[in-house]
Order: sequence, then structure tokens, then C-alpha cells
Amino acid sequence: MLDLVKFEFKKLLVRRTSLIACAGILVMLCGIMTLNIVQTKTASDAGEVLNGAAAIAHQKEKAAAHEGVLTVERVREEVAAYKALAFSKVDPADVAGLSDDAAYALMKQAYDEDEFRAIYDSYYSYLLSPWKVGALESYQVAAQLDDGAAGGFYEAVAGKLQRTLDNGMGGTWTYSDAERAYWMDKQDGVGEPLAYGYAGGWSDVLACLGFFAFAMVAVCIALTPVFSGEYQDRTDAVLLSSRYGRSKLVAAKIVAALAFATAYFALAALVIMGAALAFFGAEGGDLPVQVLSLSIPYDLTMAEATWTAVGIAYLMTLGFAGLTLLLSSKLRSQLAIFATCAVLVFLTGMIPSGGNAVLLHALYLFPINGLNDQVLFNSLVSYPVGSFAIDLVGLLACVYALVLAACVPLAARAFRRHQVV
Amino acid sequence: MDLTIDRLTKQFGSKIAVDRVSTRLTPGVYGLLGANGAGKTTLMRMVCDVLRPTSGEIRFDGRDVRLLGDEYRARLGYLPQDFGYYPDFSALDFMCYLAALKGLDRRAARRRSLELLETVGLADVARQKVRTFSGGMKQRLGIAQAVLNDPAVLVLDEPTAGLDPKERVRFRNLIASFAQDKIVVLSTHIVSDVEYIADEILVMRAGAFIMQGAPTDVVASVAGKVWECHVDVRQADELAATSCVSNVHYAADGHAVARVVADEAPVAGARALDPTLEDVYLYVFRDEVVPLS
Repeated sequence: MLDLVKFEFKKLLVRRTSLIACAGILVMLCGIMTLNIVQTKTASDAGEVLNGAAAIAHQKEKAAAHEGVLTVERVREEVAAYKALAFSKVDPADVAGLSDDAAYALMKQAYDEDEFRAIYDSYYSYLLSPWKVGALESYQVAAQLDDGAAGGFYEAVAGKLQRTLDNGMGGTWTYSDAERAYWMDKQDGVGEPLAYGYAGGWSDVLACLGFFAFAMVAVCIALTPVFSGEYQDRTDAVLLSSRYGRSKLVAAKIVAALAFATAYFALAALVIMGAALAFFGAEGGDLPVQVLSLSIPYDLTMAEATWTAVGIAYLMTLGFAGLTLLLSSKLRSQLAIFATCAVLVFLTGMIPSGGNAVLLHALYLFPINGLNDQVLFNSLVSYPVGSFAIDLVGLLACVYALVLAACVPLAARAFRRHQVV
Repeated sequence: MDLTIDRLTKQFGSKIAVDRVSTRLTPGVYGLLGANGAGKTTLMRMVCDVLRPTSGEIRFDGRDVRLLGDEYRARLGYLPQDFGYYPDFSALDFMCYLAALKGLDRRAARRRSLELLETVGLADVARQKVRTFSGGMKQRLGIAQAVLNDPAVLVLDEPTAGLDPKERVRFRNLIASFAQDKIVVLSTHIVSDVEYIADEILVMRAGAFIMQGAPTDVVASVAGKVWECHVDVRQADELAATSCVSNVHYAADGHAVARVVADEAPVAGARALDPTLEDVYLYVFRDEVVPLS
């Protein structure tokens, strides 16, 4: 059996088209990750534009300046300090009622460059986000907060979740009671107080999740000929007439295919995660995922959230590997198999939802839409199942595990029953 | 040991490719003769368990081969027509792969593969990729893989396609030496492939056996139907267009000597000849033979 697996693995590796596609996609991923690092930009405290490693170093410095536990006391003090800074030259009442643009113009006029940059520090936007409604700027949010309100920081976080559920994705989705209860339970499970700090490497991996779709396509290309190649190359007659042609060979093909998918995914993960963690830094893995957004209702660390998302991408890859094997066992045309997989992986990202939340919920189940940290952790995507609810992370895991579990035996059965005509 | 084919039928839509074929094969070499489309390949695919019959069954030592499954296939060797290869495998890898499929352990697989590559004259290129092989070399590799597991039933579908005359002779000798105590079924439309090595000839037409027996008996069936005709060139051309002419030799003096297969003497003065298996083939398939013209 082991020998057969090795030979099947070798068959996958020596096919020129597969080799070129897989190597090409890995090179492309390396290129994308290099650009991701090189093109990182930020403004220094002096207003100078920093690129690449310098930008990353500056981001680390800025986050380090605010790192620590977000106790209610600290939040209260920092919000008060921010208000003092933002309203040293402008009356809060003046910006509270203005439009975003008008408020921006007023602040820009009132403060010099250094002060203005300090007011626009993304940390304060993060800290004030639980009270934020619509597209208000941080100082507009602060202007509406009375001095004691900041003491209810964690209540505000929970309140924001409630408002988001009430809003129902802009009025397009009505959360069922089960869904509401599910999300409120999730939120209650988030540990308090939260910690803040730098987790640039982990957040970059999450931001790059979508690139795993390329790895899926490479796996589909490589696995397309597993069965159909035998039909097309007319090797099926000898294989199926051999002693183990309908038993161990089928198992060997499936083991080799899934091992290949795993190995290739691991390589892609090494490129994506390796580059991100090496250049943006691996620190911050133990920080809560709420460093990305306070409205995330998951009790996960950054590392846990990242591994969960990468695990989902891996399950998707295996699911697509299973689907490819099934198509390969049924169809002779390798182009048709590849086209089907490519459409499901990529073209589902181009289908406009037109504000239809049901369609959007369906589209989230495909890699190009689902592999997105915002969608996975922050968009409150859930599916009512009778009196229960399941979130997108859970449903993706179930769907792709089911696809794998259903497709693999069907593919094996189809090959075993294949007739040489 | 016997292989019984019992009322085996294969139908593709409205076309019957194999029509209630029955026979019992015991150890020996069987030459399966038939024109293209006669149903030989379909029959062989069913014998090799890669094509399900519409009805009927095949029994190996009295047991249905479909129920025997792996057990039957473990004793089977098969060289299909238009056999595909893995171009990026070396000949040795290819053999070892198929040996693993046939259940040989790694050491035995390697030893047997090297032995057989030597036997078919591919030892020197054992580590070369199959993509670099000529058609004849690939065919020899196909023959070698078919006997890897020392099969009790060896099925060879057009095994000499692509072989030059010297290779065909070598192939015939290889099969003759291998065939002892085995059932070898060899399908071909090249009569000379089976003329000297077959113990029995099976002639297939329109999906059914129309003739079956020892080569001498089969050949005897056309005794008195093979003629040597001494004619002029014009008559020779007429004969070629209207009769089943197996051979014409044009002499320097303007005359021709034609070998004609026909029920009656085609011209006055025609002399009856001893028939050969090729004459049988031409006689049986005279409707399908394209006249020389």
C-alpha cells in the first residue's frame, strides 16, 4: 500500500502542467507577500511617509505606546485625555452637530499638523469605537461622551453588539431569536478586561487569508488528472484489471491526493504565515482578537483566531480536493473539472449580492468570500437552523468536512465501477 | 484450470458488440482472429473484468470472475489495445508500479521487473523515461508488464502492433515459452502472429465465434478453395477487382500468378493449393476485404 501511495504521489509530482501551476502559484504567493511587506506604509510622527520595514517598526512603536490591559479606569483616563487634546482649541458642541466633512475642516483649521495627527491616532478611534454610530470621527464621538460615560466601556461594547443585531446588516437580515442569543452568549464569553498591544504579524495573516484561494486552485489543478488522467491516457484498463486496481489503488490515490493537498497547503501557509510573522513580528499572538476590533464577539487570542481561520482554509482546500477527485472520477475532460473548481473558488467572488442578505450568506460559504477576517469574526454572519444558530466559522467547517466526507467515497466508488469502453 | 465464457453478451445501445459467446478455455494458446469491429476487444475487456457484460458470465475454475474479484485479477495478465503509459516514469518505475498493483512485494517486484525488461530487450533503457521510447519499445514494455505476476490467464489484445518483423518473431517465441500450463488469449488480425503458436483458433465475426478449432482443422475448412491462377496482367487486374486475391506476382514476361480464395476455380486452368490460415481469414472475411485495384 505504501508503495502504491508513493507511486501515486510521484504521478502527481511529475505531471508537467501540475508542476508548473503549483510552482507558479507558490512563486506568485511569494511575490504577493513580498509586495505586502514592501508596500506597507505609515506616517511618522513628523508626518514623513515610511515604507516597508521602517513602517512596520513605526507601527510597533505606536502600538507599544498603548499596550496594556484596558481597565475601565484606564479607558476613562485615556478618553478624558483625548477629549482634553481634541477640544483644547475647539468646543465639543461645535463638532457634535457637524457633518464629517465640516467637522474635519474645522479641526484641520484649528490645530497644527502634529496636534492633528495626534487627534487622528488610530488608537483613539479604536478606543472610542464602542460609542461610535455611523461614520462619525473619533472627536465627534468623544464630543458626545460625558465624563462618566467612559466608565461604561464594556457595557458600551455589549451595547454596540445589540445595536448591530438590531440593525440586521443594514436592514437586509432579520436575526432570529436563536441567532441573537447565540451572539449575545458569545459576547458574554469574551474575557474582561481586554488587553491591547501589537499583533501586526497575526493581523497580517488574517488580512491575507483570501490568498489561500490560490492554493486551492493549485491543488485542484494538480488533482484533476488523478482519475480522469487514467481514462484519458488509457491506462485505466491495465490498472483496473490488476489485483489491487479496484481496492488498494483507489485508497492509494485518495491518500496521495489528500497528502498532496495537505503538503501544498502547508507550503502556501508557510509562505503566507512565514512572511507575515517574520516581517511584521510574531509577538501579540496571546493578545485577544479584539485588538482588531472591539466588536468581535469571540473569546479568542490572535493566534487562536489565526489558526482557526487557517484551519478553515485547510478544510476548504480538502473539501475542494474531494470535489476535484469526484469530478475526476466521473469526467474525462480535465478542462471541465478545472473550470468547475475555478468557478466555485474564484467566480463566486464576482456575483453581486444586490443587497440580498440570503444570497450573501450563501456566497460567504465560498472561499473567495468566506476567507476574510472581517466576515469570519466581525460581521456576525450566522445561520438559523431551526431553534439553533450556527456561525459562519462553524458552518464552513461543517460544510467542507461534509463535502470531503461525501465526495471521497463517491469518487472511489465511481472509479471502482468505471467501465473501459 | 479452465476459463468458461457462458453466453456472454455486450450491447451498446442498439448495437450488439458481443452476441451470446460461449466457449471453454483450458491451458494453451488461443488465437482470436477477426476483422476490426468484430468484437474481439470488447470480449477481451469483459474477460479482463474491465467491462461489465450485458448478460452471461465468465467463470474461472467454475466460479464467477465478478465474485472472485481481486482473486481472479491476481491471476490475470492483460495487455490492452492502445495501452497508455506514464511518459514521465522510467521503464523500471513503470514495471515496479504495476508489480505493486499486482501484489508483488518491493524486492520481488524489482527483481522480476529487471528480469522481464531483460527478456524483452529493454534492460539497457530500464532507467530511461518511457516518453523517450519508440512505439515498439513501448509495446515490449506492455508485454513485459502483462506477465509480471506470472498470470494463469494472459490476455493480449493486438500485442504485435508497432513491432517490426524481428520483434514479432521474438514476441512469438516469448509467448510460446511462457504459455505452458497457462491460458493465453491473443487477439490479432495479423494471421502470422498466431499461425505457428496457437493451439486453437477462434474466429470472430459480428460479435460471435463463427469458427473454432485447432489450426489444422480450421485451415482444412477452406481446402479446395484456394487457387493459383496463371493469367495475363489484364486478367490479374480483373481478378484483383472482383475476387479475394491474397497475392499477385507479376512475372517479367507479362504474365501474372495470382493466389485467389474462392469457392470455385476463378479461371480455367486454376490449380488448387494447400490453404493457410491467412487464406481462412480472407475466406471468412472476404466481404470485408477491400479488393486490390
